[in-house]
Amino acid sequence: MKQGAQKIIVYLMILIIIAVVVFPFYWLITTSIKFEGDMQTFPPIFFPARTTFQHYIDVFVKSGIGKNLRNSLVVAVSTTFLSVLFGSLAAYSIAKSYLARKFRTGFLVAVLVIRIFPPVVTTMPYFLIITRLGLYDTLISMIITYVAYCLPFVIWLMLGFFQEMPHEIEKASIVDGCSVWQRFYRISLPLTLPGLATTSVFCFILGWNEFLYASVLTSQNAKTLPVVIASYISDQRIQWGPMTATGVLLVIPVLIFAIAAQKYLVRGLTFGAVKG
Amino acid sequence: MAEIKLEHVTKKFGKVIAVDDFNLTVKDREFLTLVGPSGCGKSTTLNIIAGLEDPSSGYIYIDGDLANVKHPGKRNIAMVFQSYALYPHMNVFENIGFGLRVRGMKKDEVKKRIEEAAELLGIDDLLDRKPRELSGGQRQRVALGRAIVRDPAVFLLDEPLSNLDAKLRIQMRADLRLLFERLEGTVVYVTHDQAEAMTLSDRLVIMKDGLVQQVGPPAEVYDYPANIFVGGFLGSPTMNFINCSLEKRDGSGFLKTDDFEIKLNDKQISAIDKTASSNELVIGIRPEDIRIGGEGCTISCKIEVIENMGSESIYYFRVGERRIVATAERMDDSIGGRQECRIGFNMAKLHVFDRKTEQAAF
Amino acid sequence: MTALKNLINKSGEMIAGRGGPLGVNYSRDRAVLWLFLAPAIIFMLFANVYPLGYALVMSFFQYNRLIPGAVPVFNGFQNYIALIRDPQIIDSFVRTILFVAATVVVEFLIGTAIALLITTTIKGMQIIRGFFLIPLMMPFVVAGTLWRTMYNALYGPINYFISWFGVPRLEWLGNPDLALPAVMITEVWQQTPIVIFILAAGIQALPVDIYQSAMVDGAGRLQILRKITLPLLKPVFFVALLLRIMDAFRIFDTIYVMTYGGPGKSTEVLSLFIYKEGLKYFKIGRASALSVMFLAVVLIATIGFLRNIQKQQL
Repeated sequence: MKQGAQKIIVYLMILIIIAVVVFPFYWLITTSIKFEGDMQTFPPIFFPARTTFQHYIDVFVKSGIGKNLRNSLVVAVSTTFLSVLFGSLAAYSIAKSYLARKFRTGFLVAVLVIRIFPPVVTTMPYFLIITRLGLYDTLISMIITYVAYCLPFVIWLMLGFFQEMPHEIEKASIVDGCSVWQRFYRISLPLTLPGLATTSVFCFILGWNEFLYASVLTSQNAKTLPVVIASYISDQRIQWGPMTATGVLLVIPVLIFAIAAQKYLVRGLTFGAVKG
Repeated sequence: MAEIKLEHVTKKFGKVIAVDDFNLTVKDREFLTLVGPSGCGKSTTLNIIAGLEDPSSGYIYIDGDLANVKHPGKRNIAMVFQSYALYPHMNVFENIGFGLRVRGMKKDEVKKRIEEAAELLGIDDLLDRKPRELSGGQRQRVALGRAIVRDPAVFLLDEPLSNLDAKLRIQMRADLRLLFERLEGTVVYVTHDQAEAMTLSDRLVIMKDGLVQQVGPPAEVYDYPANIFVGGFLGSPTMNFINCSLEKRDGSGFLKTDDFEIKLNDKQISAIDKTASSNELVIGIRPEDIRIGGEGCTISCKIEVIENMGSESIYYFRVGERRIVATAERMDDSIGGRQECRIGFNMAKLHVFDRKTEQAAF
Repeated sequence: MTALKNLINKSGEMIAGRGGPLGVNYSRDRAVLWLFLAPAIIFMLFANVYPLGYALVMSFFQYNRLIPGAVPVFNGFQNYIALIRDPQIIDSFVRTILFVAATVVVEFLIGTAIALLITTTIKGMQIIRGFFLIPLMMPFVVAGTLWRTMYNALYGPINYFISWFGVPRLEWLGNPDLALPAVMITEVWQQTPIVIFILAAGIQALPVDIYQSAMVDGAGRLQILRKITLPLLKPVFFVALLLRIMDAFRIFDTIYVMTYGGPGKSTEVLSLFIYKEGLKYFKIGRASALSVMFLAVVLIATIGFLRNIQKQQL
């Protein structure tokens, strides 16, 4: 009897916690479908009796968010592809330690440092470089930026995976006559598929969610969704409707992706913290 | 001709010398085994032949060509690893054919070769399975298939049987021997199991701490070990070693221990005189060369334990302070259950080693 | 034999093999591996090393791009000295460190409790995990704007909920004393899940037999918690701590959309300050110097912490 009661209490507590965690998200969604007049009420309406999708329509039609959505998508996907590719190649190279030990450690330290420092630090010089190269407000500059941003994550994660691979399989592939590229492509990559999945999820989320660089480096053409949301906040008025609608548009894809790839995501997040 | 020649091959890892001035010629179609305890350098040597390690100095010739700077894939070798190293994401068919596909061989030719090898090894019904679905023995045969199908000049095997259970191992020994005889390839085999080495090889190379202890056909190294290590390494149960000293009196030579003495003949005495550095020596006698009871047995001892193994018995005798092990045909009542008895050594099979240098006099 | 020539150097000695764990020294292989590394190096040089170098160099110059025709003028350490003397900067530093410390502590207290809680039940981990992913995956800007609406003094749900406890309506984002805590709460909401995930993974990785033997020994649940679980979790703890501290310093997006540093300067953490100096006022020299100092603080904090862990584990 005591056991049963304990379990119920535990589940109840978890339920309460989840409610707290999810409530803001719920608020976001409900606000985005409320009528303008229902938004600013006290007490706030938690279960809107009447709903409308007008805000979503506005956002697409009046603000032309379709373009920004496309931008975000292009940037996120390209970033993912390039980061995972270049990062895996780099991680493989380091893992096979053909290079001098000093260089290897140096490189890894550099990767670590880049991982640590806050992006603000390089934003302004980077902005100057980009404008000088004439890449302001282009998708390419965003992709380049994000790839550089993601690389430390990818390298760190993939390095662990490559080091875990048994040596003898590599030796077998060498004796079988594989060149380095063949070894990488036909043997190592397939065996580290989970690592690729994890890093892909990461890079996509990073490319999709990022705000600082996007706001600094883009204007009309290459603007991505996060920047659009921030623009709804001005000193005079917050347009709650369009803002929450855009917010939902921004969150839903990432969330679906994240929940679908849960296993890999959590693994990547906890990587290095727990061995094995 | 697929001869392998190693000249003055040395490998150092920092200050540790893993392989020390290794010189050897492996003849064409010879089955040569590198055998020794863990860390003796046998696997390192194999890796050097394969090209997976560079020697610190020395030259390797395969088939007459200098192989030092050649990529392992270009040395016309095939290798079987202790863990089999099968590619987990490919099925058996793809695993075996991988080396051929990488070299650009046509699909039909590859298919033909795979099927031939699979039939030879008895795995033709496993071709579409993945390695994780196979048993240890099956995986091992797939690894062999991968090597065979390349038709290389040289086969290199790194403890391929070590991961199998005891019974399977013994079974596979015979199969391996037959297989390679049929394939007529040059084989360099590495193992720590002396029984494997003895049964499979044309020649053995016994190694310890990076140094070659002795090279020769199994019978030769078994019957004429060059030093204490080789004597003790080969053969099971292990050779008995008894400290003794040489004493010459009355015109004859005797080996004297605390508990008994043995008379030597002239040939044996002169062999000792030639090679020994002092009179401090060690007797080596194998368990199967000890006679129990009967004529000519002069050493008195006590029986400690008798282990009946089924086909034979192992006797543990106590002679003074030390224990001597002997084996004999199983006779449930050979000594009549007595505690005390007498044993004797087969003088033709007696070995004497210098206690300090550990080299054999005979 | 040219092959032989390659092996022997000028004095006739053998060139030793210089391979890695696979010991392969074939020049073509090594060239390919450098090629593998090249793209990553190029990206990192372009987007990280060069800008960092630029910031470092510029920190010793006076350069205000808003002034037409301005050129960088070398002024040594003056930027640094001015910054150290500036009370605003010191406030910002303190604010940042306060932010990091407070959020991390709260995240860990709550996170540990929740992690322990959810690892006691086995069923439904996946679903629970899914829920916890929501705050984590939400873009910072969305979380920021979302909570901004929730903190609305008149119509926001937060004030509604606290009214249940008899607390009068608070001007969360308008009150300089409440703004920073408000932002902290948002950050805690967003980032606690990652602490939960790491700790939960750590708890689940603990060996079962220790618990079994403790139970046989008659230990109570609280004792097991204190004497076994928590000490064994120490390494995981430290890694999670390191991760969170590192990332807490990066806070920017959320504050940008929630308060933009205000009201007044009450939520102006360093990252925001640097942003304004560099990209709003274009005081390149000052912003660079500040960036360098900020970077130094973060690096020292993180690496110092790392060293500490390493020493502890030895």
